[in-house]
Amino acid sequence: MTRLRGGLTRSEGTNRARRSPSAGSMVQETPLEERTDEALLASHIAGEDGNSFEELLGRYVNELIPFLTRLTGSKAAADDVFQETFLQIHQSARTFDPSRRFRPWLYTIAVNKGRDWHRKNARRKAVSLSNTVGTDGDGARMADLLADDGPMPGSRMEISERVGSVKKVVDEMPSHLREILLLSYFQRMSYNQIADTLEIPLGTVKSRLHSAVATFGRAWQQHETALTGEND
Amino acid sequence: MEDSGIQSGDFANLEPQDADLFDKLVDVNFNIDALEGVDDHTRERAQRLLAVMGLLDDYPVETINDEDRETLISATMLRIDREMDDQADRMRLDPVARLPRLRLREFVAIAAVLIAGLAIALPLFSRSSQLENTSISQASLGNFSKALEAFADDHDSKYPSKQVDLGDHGPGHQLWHIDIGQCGEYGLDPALLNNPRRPNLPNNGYSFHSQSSERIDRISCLNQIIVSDGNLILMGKTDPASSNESPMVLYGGGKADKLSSCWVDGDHIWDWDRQRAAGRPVFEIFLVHGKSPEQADQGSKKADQDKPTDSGH
Repeated sequence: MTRLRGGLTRSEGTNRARRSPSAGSMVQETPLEERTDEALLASHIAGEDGNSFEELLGRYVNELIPFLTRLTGSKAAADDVFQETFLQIHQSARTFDPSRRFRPWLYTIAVNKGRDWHRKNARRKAVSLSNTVGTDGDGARMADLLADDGPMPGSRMEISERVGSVKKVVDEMPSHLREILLLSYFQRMSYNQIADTLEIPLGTVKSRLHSAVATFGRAWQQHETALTGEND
Repeated sequence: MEDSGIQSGDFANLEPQDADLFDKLVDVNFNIDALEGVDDHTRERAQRLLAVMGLLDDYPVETINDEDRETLISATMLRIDREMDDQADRMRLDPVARLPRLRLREFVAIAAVLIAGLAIALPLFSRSSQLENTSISQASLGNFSKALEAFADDHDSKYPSKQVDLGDHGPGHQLWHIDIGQCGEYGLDPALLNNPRRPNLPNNGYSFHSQSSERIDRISCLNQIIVSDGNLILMGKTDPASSNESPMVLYGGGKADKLSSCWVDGDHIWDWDRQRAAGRPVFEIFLVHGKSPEQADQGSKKADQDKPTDSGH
């Protein structure tokens, strides 16, 4: 299998990969797995080590694929967006601001690529979005879901039923609410990190995230109510 | 990077107390045990909020095993590699093979269009400019006429005249020409003496009719040229029909028009007969420039050099 060996072009990378590491370089002396993300990217840009980009990519497979699966709704789409994301990183490596951390930059690109994917699949999404999310059908309210005397959310469903319902509700959320919900809950990003990643003001992060939680909760309750009614 | 067309306020929000509680949960990374300073009721509500969020954990995500991971890494690297190859191919093909031909064709086509456009546009611009200057000159001549007529009204129907010595060009001869300087108080603006059609010539004003008689009767010179904005003889041209610079002239009677021929009946550009009848060698009587005799002399010398056989002096 042909592997890219660092650098910004194939020939550049191949040639550079053949070069012996420069003597006395602190970066070269540090094993790949011990280097920071930023150091790996810098090494890739400089063409100092042909495997630095692959190492960087490998670090984020287990973290990014689940995120992208929830963002796009399918593993196949997640794989595709993952590749698009790292292709973009490879092409834009020289524009990376070394004063920034790599991870927020990665997520910025990944979220953008996720949006691109949603745009391409807009027709399918438009149909499904017309169903329940964002409406107040059946009088469902987030406050009811949090009421002290009610059952805990999800407790009235079988696990298999609940899995399908969660996927349906999340997949039907508007992408701008879904992505912020995922960044906060699954990626455990702080408000500041989310603001940095999505490049939006801190106040917008808070209000959008509150809206995302409320939308998810309300949609969930509508879905749960509808299912309970069917079972009864 | 704000989403276009979608605002977070599109949907109902959390109750204020729930929003505050959620912010606290985010601060403690959704670890409810780390919440401090909350009462039991709030903690219960936090648990319910966390339960709502916990539903997200049920979203089905496939486990990534080592094989999947390696496959994805390889596929990604291969895709990047292929993209680089494609990019390199485009870089290699475009400048060497395809683009130069296209550029050459495009260049020729664009050049042809530009040349054709310029060939059409430049004469139009030039023509337009000439027409504009001719119109200005005609208007100036019209003002000369009004000033001259006003002067004549106050001076027994005679135009302002001034004697000019021809010097070497006409030894012993003194001619008279219009002295436009006397028309200042009759509303003639000196700026009108700047001729837009001859801005680069040393004598860029107007030429004024010269004659042997001191006085000009305006009634008797209806068809005579009084003032000209260009002297074809001085310019080395004798055929107005073939010249774009055909002079604009003011005839006696006040009409300003383009000169169609040097041989205008009754004009005084040439005075052949008078010179021939006097038995003298034929020489040209030029329209003497109105600015100064020195300028007229310069112009006459030039014409003399251009037409050595015509002058007998």
